[in-house]
Amino acid sequence: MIHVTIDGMQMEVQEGTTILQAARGAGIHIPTLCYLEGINYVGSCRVCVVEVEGMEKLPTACNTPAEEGMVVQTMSERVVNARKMALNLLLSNHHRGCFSCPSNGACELQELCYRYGVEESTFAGARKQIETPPVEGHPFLSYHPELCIHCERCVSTCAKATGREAITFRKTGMFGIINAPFGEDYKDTLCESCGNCAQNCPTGAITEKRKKKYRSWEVSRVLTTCPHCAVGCQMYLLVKDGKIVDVEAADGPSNHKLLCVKGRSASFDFVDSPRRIRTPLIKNKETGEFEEATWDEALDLVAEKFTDIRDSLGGDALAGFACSRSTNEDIYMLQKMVRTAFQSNNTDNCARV
Amino acid sequence: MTNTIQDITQDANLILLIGSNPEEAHPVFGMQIRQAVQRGAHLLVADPRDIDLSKKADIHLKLKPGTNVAFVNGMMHIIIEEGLQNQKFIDERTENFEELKKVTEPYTAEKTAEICGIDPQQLREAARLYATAGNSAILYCLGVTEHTSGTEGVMSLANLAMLCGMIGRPGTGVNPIRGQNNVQGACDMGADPDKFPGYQKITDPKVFEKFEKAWGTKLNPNPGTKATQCFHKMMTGDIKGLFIFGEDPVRTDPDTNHVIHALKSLDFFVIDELFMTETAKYADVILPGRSYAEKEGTFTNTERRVQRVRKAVEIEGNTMADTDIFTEIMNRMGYPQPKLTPAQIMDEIASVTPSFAGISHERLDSEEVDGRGLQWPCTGKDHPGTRIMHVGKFARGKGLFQPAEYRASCELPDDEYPLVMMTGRILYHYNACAMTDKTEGINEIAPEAFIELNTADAEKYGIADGEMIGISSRRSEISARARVSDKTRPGETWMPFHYLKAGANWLTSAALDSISATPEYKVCAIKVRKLSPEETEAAEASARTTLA
Amino acid sequence: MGKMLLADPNRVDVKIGALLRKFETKVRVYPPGTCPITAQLSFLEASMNQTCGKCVPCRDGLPQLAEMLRSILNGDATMDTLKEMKSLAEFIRDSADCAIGYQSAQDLLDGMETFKIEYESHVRDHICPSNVGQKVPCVNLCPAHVDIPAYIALIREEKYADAVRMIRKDNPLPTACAMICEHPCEERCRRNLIDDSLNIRGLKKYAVDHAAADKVPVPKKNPSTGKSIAVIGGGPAGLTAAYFLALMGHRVVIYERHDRLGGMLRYGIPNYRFPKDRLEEDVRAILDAGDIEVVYRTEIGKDLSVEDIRKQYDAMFVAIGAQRGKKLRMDGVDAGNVESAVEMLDEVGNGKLPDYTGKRVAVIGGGNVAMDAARTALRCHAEDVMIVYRRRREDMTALDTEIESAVMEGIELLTLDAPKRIETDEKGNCSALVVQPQMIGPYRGGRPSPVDADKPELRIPCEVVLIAVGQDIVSKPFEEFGMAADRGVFRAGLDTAVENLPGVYAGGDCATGPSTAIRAIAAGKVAAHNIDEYLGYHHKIDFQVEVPVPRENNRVPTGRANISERPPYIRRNDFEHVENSFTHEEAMQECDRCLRCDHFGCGVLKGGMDE
Repeated sequence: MIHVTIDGMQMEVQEGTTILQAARGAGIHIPTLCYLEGINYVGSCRVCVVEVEGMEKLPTACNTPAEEGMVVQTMSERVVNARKMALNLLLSNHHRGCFSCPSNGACELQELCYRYGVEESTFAGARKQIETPPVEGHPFLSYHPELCIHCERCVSTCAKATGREAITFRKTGMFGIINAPFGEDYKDTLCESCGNCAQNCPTGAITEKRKKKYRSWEVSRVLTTCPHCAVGCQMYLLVKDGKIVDVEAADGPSNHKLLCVKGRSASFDFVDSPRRIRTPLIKNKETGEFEEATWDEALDLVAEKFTDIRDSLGGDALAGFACSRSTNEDIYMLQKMVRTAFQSNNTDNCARV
Repeated sequence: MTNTIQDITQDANLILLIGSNPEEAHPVFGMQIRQAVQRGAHLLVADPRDIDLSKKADIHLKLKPGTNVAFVNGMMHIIIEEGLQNQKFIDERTENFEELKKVTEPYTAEKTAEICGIDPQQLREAARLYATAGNSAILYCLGVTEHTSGTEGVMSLANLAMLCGMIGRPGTGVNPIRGQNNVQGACDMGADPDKFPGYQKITDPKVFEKFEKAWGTKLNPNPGTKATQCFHKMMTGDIKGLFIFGEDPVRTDPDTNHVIHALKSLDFFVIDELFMTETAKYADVILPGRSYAEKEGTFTNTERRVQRVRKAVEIEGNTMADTDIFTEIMNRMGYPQPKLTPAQIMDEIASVTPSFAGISHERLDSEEVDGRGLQWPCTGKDHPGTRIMHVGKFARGKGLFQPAEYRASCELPDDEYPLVMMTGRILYHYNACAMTDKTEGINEIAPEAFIELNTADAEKYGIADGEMIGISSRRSEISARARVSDKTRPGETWMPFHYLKAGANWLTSAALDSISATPEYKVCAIKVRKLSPEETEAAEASARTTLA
Repeated sequence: MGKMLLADPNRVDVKIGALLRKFETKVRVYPPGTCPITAQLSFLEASMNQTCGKCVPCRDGLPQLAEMLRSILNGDATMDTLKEMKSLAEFIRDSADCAIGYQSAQDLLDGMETFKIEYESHVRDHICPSNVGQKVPCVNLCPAHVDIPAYIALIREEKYADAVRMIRKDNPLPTACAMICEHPCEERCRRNLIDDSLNIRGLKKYAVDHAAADKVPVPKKNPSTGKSIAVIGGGPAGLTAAYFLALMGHRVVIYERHDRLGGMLRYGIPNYRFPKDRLEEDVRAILDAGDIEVVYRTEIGKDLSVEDIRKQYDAMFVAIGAQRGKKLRMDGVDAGNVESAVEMLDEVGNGKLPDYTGKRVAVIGGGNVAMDAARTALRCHAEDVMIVYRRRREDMTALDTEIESAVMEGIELLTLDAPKRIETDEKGNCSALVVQPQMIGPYRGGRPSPVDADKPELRIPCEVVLIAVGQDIVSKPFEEFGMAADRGVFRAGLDTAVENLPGVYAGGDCATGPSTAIRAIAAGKVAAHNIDEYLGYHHKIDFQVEVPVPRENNRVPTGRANISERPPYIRRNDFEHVENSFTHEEAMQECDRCLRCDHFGCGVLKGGMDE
């Protein structure tokens, strides 16, 4: 254990703890922008700089380990000025079309600039002179270089969190640029369309295209479990006006804020699909066509037919299969129905298929 | 799974991945395996195909399809031969080791390598790595189970883990990655012909009595028939009425013709569905149920972790909660079932299922659980759940070695059908696509079926990459686009089974595993042919309309 | 985990190598007289282009600094721009991740301090200060501003006597400079942009080898003015001043301590580097220039008072050099056979060779004097000679070529060893030098300084120790006369005038500290010019030489011809000149490489050629 003092507060932390972790552990807020716990700690944005007694430079809290006897200031005038300057510079190369940006209201750059009173940049922005067209050939994902702050979160997310390395860092002359695999040739890239990069983008640079259809403050979030495979990823359904408009990964025990393409992009369109069956249907024996029915008509018919078979041939002539996609409660009730009402043990699920 | 995704991907020194392509079928697990490899974990891949993870593997054992049992026996032979087994674990925690030794004795590296079509030296190295890595975890999936010898494959893997004491601690275990989101829960909940919820055998009189009492009615004591075998009984007339809740066997079961024939033989067929599936088309009554986003409930993931499903929306129309549908039918058939909320149903489950005794919606939503779910066995309100199974002691006491002999797959290639076809999943779709094909972008990315052919075979039949070809088995013929590569070995092909047109299950064999009755999806014999220009045009047109 | 690959031999980092070497050269040969703000901008742009693109301060900040610098140069900046630039640079210095960012900002901040006047001139007046303006590099960097392109052109025309005349226009010691000049003229030679510097000294040597200075008549002197000037010291500064003053028609009396002229050229530099008979050629020519009297074996301040001399003459030029070897303070320094290297060389210059037969000689120091002393000791039959230096070889102040020659002749360099004490035998003679090993440490005063290493002392058995750790000026009598000095170095203006003493001038080593011959020559030239003006004249001298019409530049990259030396195993045994001559082909090829910057580029502009 080592001892550090942050903003006058003395604390004891594990060796190897960063200044940021030590401060957060003590409830001291240090702003961050490029930092993503366990994924991105390249220290590129310099928004988390702090002042350390005896150190010439202003170190970045996110990747500087706390050392024995360190005395840290997180909000000194020098620190605040440096943060403002960093934001000022970031803003100088950021296209500020916030009104039309899908991340408006959910943008971390916007939030920090607001908090630090940086309304517009005093600099012209050298990168702005470079023409970089948007990359939007992918059905779900797009990259808008003019909104990118080159924090590398997407690159690190793709390399370290998803382990895919489909997004790379390239250069356009002196500037870095994200080589986003969302062009017309996206099928020839390593991209798995999982969208974890988009979720971790602090601005509107990489986004799911559907994000254009809602504003972050218009949606409510419902925490649930993904309906596809058995990993059991935790995720939020984003609901606007009674419709699911998007999905966000939650920090579940098996997914750790990750989702795949199915969970993120293919788990809600079907819910209110026009192809849903919305009323009971009974097949007309004559025509072979289905006809709409009331619940009572349908349920009575089902009960009557099954009761007939049960009572004439015994329960063993009936069977009922459950779906391994449905909830435990549904399945329990299904098998209970088969065992009690059908008087049969011919119940199974699709585990084998 | 005996262990958790987290401990396997963070604590294991070695992962033996066999018959599993998690990057496509369980992508978020796959991502974490990639992290584990980046962290420095060894990876052994035993798979007939070049999956992406095999490129990251220390060793890729490109087994012939259907030879898993021989492969695992060979591993064990080498481990015993070289004295690498964990004798202390064997002595203290297992029984029947002598039998295992006897059965694996003939599986020398050379013989095994010949059966599996691999290099004996690589097999030796893999065995040594597995036995000596420290913490070795076995991960497997349907590539092990979907064979006529699937159960033996699973038991052999358990033997291997016990032989090396790789069980009962973080980073080890025998871990089936379950397929669908709640396939674990479906088994747990007693959707099983001879087990009540919580794997309580209906043949156990005490259990039977308990359920009769709990449900307040006389029950049928005859063990039921497995679904895959029910189809046969439908054709023989032994089963006359069928209720299907949300399954699409016409698409997902093997030998589609056989399934359709069975459904047509029924007197009365009811389905509770969201969509007009291929199966629903044969129903007499369709009851519109609700999707996961429209209901409260729980799913149990592959780690035995029970997690909450929450209602987000209601859709327009005249649908009904599925539990209410079942309740209505029960009542109308004379069984008095009060209408319960999902939370109340879970309370009832807990009351009759010892391994779920400590689970309730209230607890899952509590601060104590903090969104991390509960892993069964969870035997009481204060029980924290079970992260790792078989710690210190097996459920049955001593671990029983159940050695098995290798048996060849049922349908092997011959002169007429010279190629082996395997089936599987791709990243972008799920099973019969009922959910995934409603998303336009998904269809844009992965619009149509294909068959992977080896370069040598393609050359032999004069087939070019991207060409539409005819594919037939003893059961049917379909057409799909050829993808020519060396992902499979010469003589072997692979197809996804998701698609309506060019559905692989028109071709697959209905041969079942002798114990679990799981179909042999992974091996059937096929032949391919070039199409005439007219046929090609028709196939192209059909492929374009694959997804309505 | 794809395949692991070796570095591609055609990768861009390899391909870029040649470009970067050119770039490096481009920077190294920055033309004299460049606006420092433009240089700073180029530097900053090079810095910002080196960003990896990761961090905000460097990737986004440096281009903004460059933008501000551009606005300063464009004339649309205000004093506030300077303030903003400073605060942005401080932010980058404090918060950049790596040296590409923080050092670039630090360098800009340093530049803002160093070039404060230039920055303000640009911001306020939108113009460079008047001293900024491009110059021909070789002419500018030669302290005497010899018209180098012209004499090279004359050599190319095989007019060697004219070449000597052309040199003598600014420097009456062409032979001395042909042999031992440190040739600062070559440093930023524009030819570097194509291949390499011209071998200017080598060409000069070729000229004097083909037209001995004393065989080329000096220009006609002016009619006598009746004024007389005392020159104290007959070294390069004194001789140069005497030459020009005599040509102007003044009477010159040189007071020389020794019995021969030449100063350090004779008594400091051994014969094998500069044969004395060749020195005589320059001296004879100088003494031919006019009314020059030499008073030998007379030390002013000892034999005659400074005050008397000053009274006796219309003006006085003090050029006494830095003749006395510095002492080292350590135990045993007074032992027998411990000598000052300068004094030893002085004796050798007088023809008195020590006999080091069978002796081991340790030379302490890292300058040219140390090299000269060591190589001389070798020629005096020492059994073994080593140079002991407390810093590293790259920190030695001696010319690289001198160190190289010493090593080639078999002299061992013991670096990072600081002398601690000298041990003596029973007769009180030196028996060993004890040194303390050093490690190199942080920079102090612009060079890395050594500190004691954690290693045991080392004992170097030796019978002779020569100390070459710098020279002092015998300044005391002149200081008493009233000449101000800093640590013995006379305080003279850039015009060589001594403050508060009209008519008294000082130049050469005594006004700069130990330095090069060409700087002393420049001082003599400037002093002569200013004394003439002080006496009320503006004499012109007709040097009777024309500059040839330039030929087109030869752009074919061609290697620089170096002067070869006699083989070390032979030359180490004698005092004969070590250097050979260029062949005619070599000399002509080298001449053809000259880009004639006096004609092409800024050389034709007013002010482009220094005088």
